[in-house]
Amino acid sequence: MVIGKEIDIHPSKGIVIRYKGAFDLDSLYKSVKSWFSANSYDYYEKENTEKTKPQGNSVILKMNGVKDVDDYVEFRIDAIFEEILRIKKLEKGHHGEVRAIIKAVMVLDYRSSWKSYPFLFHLYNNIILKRKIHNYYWPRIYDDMMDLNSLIKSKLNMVE
Amino acid sequence: MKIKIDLLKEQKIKFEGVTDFGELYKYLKLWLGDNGYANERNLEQRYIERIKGDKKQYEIFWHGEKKKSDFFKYNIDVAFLILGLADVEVEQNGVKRKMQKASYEFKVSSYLESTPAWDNLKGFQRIYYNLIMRKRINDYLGELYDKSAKFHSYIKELLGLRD
Repeated sequence: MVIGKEIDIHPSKGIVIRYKGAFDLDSLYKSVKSWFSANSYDYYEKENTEKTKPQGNSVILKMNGVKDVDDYVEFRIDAIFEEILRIKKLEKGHHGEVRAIIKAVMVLDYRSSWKSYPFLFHLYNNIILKRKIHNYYWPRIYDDMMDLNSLIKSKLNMVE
Repeated sequence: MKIKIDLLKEQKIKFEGVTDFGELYKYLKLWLGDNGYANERNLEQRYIERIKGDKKQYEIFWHGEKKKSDFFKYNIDVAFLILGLADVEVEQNGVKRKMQKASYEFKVSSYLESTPAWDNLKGFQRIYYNLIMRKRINDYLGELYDKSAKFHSYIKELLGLRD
């Protein structure tokens, strides 16, 4: 596999989680948000939408975190709640339908210092840094992605 | 050379429901004012109100900036898009209040930008300040990130969204 500027860690469409049932939306939101800061990611919220509907509110949350691992490598993780539909408030928590996608990307030379030297950039990544990418960076971001996946599933009362 | 570093990039907050739009507008302006970002002359760069039947539509753009040093300034921009705004009467704690039902959308951006004083530095002066400022820029970015994230959270709080 040739190593380019961005390496997708997730499966092609991301890790997709679907759930219908009871869960605590406030706790889910807070836990995911805290997870990013607890794991040294700068947290960004690309979108936070809530629509009031008679059949129950719907929510869209696009949360993402960016971590500069060192001067060369950056990790980006997205937790996208594409749709949380028909949210009904229960005595404790909520009931609704959730579709979430988790994506993780490793970005090399995120400061674009090698931009003017594409050939050297290619050699550096695919020869000199290759082992470190596979044995050091890759397992770290993969673990982060799977940890977040477990957290979301646990908050949705799903089997981990 | 001019420096511009983006932090928040059009982070979208959207709420469809009922809120007090006048109060929301006032409190957001006050927040930027209290934190030193609102300059009456250039805060509101666009304010468009359109009447469509019995509903209103607003497009508003605010540019807030705060001078951090001779060489750098903080910027927080917010774009409002409010569609289908209509007055509704809501009862809160036994008191009837006039509020507004609409689709409210906000896009918040923040960035660090150099001032003309920096852009005009030349020769050794530029090299000297480049060395000093490199570390300081990271501190500025941290401070602006915290401030703009707080503003983003404040909008969500006013709309009653999760934060």
